[in-house]
Amino acid sequence: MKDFNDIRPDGGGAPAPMLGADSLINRILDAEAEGEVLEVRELVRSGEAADAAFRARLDATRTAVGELSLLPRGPDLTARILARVEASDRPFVVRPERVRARRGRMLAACGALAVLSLVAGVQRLWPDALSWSTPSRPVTDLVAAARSDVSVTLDSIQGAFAQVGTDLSSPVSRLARQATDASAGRGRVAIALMPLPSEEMAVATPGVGDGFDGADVRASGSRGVLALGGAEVYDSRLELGALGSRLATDLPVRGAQLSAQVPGDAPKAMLAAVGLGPVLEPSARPQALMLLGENPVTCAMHRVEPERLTDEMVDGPRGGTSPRLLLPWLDLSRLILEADGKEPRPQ
Amino acid sequence: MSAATPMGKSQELALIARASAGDRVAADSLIRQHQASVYGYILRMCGRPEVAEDVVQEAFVRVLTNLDRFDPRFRFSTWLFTIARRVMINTLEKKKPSSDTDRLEASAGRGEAVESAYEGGERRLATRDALTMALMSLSMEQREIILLFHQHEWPIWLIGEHLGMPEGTVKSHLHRGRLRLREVLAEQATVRGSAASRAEEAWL
Repeated sequence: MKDFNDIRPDGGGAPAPMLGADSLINRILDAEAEGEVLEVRELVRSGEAADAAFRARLDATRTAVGELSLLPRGPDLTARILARVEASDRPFVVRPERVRARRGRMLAACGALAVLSLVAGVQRLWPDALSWSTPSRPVTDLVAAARSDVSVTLDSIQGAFAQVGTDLSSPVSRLARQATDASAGRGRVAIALMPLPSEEMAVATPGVGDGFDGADVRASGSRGVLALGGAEVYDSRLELGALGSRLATDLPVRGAQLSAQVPGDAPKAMLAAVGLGPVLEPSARPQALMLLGENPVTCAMHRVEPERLTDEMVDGPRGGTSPRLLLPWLDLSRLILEADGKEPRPQ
Repeated sequence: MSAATPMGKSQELALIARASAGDRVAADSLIRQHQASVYGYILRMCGRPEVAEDVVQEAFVRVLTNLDRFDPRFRFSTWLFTIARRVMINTLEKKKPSSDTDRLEASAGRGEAVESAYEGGERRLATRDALTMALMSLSMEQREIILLFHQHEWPIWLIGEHLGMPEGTVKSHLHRGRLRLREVLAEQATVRGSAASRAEEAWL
């Protein structure tokens, strides 16, 4: 057996690297791929001369790589590919069109961004300028004033009532100008105004200490009473003492006060009023309710439709002095919210 | 997948120009012309038919939606294969088996398929599966170079360009890969031979 190291693949006399059997096989396969028939023949002959098993090894290698020329079968993906291309963003678009489209999209995006920036800027500088909803009637001054100066509060209440409508505002507009409020600034403000109830209607004030009952209010006859106070516990004596005398002379309606305990999810303050006397038909039921929030935009005034109210909602537990009596007011506000559909809207 | 008759370069360029201008029929022809080869390339590279289908689809979608970027100085198939290869690598990265167990189960499944095909008398199918398994035993570079050289008959210089390798390195991988392929196939044949003998003995 000859040694493969003796074989010179170029067949010539030039010095060449010595090749092993496998290197020779590789050389043959490379030459075959390049179509060098003569060289292949020469190399095969050399290999066979060196080793009888060479041919078998060469054939095994040829078979192994020869299998590769048979492509594996696969599914026809043409329809799926074309469907995906058609569904793609810009199918079969030539470059200029693609550039144009891209530029157009960029311009549109920049334009949209500029408009949004402008809107945001305007909104920041003039918050009301771009409001699409009907603006709520702000009663900021009422809320703020109630915490600082009752006299201002009263003026504000006049203004607020004036917005409700002539029917209601006329009698209330003559509220007293001067008052002091010792409880101003105590947390949330609850304001309620209602006429002196009829004999059948019990009125009680929550948080009232010993020595005060609703009868005192009723006893004031035709004098209206305005009550202001903190939401948690309303000390009606202070307000009654401070305001009662003044209001008695100027308020032509018969009224009684009712304060409210405002839960966390309720409006932060509320003002309720009913008209009575020459303008509105005598009624013991509230005919308007103003919901005040800390944010003036959310404040709104609502007319109450009397037919929506039940006696219980208006009257509350007869003769009670507990804060539970205030629940009708809260229910009333809830009722209005529900009747409106969702959020309170200004009228 | 229907077999396509090979077309000349000018014919292919005309087809690409038409497809680039939105001709659906031309795009259809272009796909039919190349899908078998690119599918065969990807299938034998990854050994997973479902991956090969996804990759081929994705590669063609990318190519057809970017035909305007094709440089006619080069071969369309080279461009297509380059994109398909990139898509395949990304896909395999995403679909990498989560554990060695998964890998073992996958290869066991392939082995069973070979065995079953052989015992069923479908020698051809068994050989093809054996070839796929043997290819998977090569390194990625060896497999790819072997496929491009023997399956797609690319010249060494083109493979070198495609893979970014010097020609000498390509040749080195090619030579080692060939011999390894032959060895693995021979080992598999021995295993199949003993399995067949055992089956015959069992019948007797």
